[in-house]
Amino acid sequence: MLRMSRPETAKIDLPDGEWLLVKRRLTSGESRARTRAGVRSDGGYDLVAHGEATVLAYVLDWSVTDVSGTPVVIRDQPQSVLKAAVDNLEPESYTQILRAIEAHEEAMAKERTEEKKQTTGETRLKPSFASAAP
Amino acid sequence: MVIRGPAGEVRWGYHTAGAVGPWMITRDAGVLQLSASLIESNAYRISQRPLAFAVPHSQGMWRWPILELQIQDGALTARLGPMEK
Repeated sequence: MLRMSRPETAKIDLPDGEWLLVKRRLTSGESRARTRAGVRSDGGYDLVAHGEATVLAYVLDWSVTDVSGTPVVIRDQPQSVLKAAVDNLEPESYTQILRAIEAHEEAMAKERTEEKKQTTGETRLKPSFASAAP
Repeated sequence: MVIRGPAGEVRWGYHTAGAVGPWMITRDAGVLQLSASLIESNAYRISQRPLAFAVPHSQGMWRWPILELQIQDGALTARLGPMEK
């Protein structure tokens, strides 16, 4: 089934009462942009850039505070504000966020797979063969 | 009542559906009316519903639901609902 993306969100709970609000799924355009972000000029693929693009593509809001306990506001802010905030996370915190988003993406993919299995009336192409008769 | 601003956005959920330049919200007989110049838009997203008019600020965004929307020759007018909290 072909479908258009919808701006749905999902909350990811993290340890110690922390949380992320993320896009439930990326649009095809966002997914392609994320993939392009990792392509290197030498033809290789930069997984670090891919990870960064993943975080920036998915995160909408979070519970992160600065050292004084003031919330680090990213909701509805420009991408540059989000990037600056993400770049200033401690490395372990960044990794925790990235892993949480990757797990979420995997869960969404599994959900889709299950939906497809339950879809009825699936159209199956029958193979055609040239006649073997002389 | 009149509120003005230099820039704002039309939002579909968390997506930006359009960018507006100088805008003005007036209240007349309890009805909030938005007038703005539409600078650019995503043709698909701006056709979706529901939309909201949003003005970013340092601590987040002011949002009003768009109840009715008209766009003509780059001019955007809309009837807005109460500001979202």
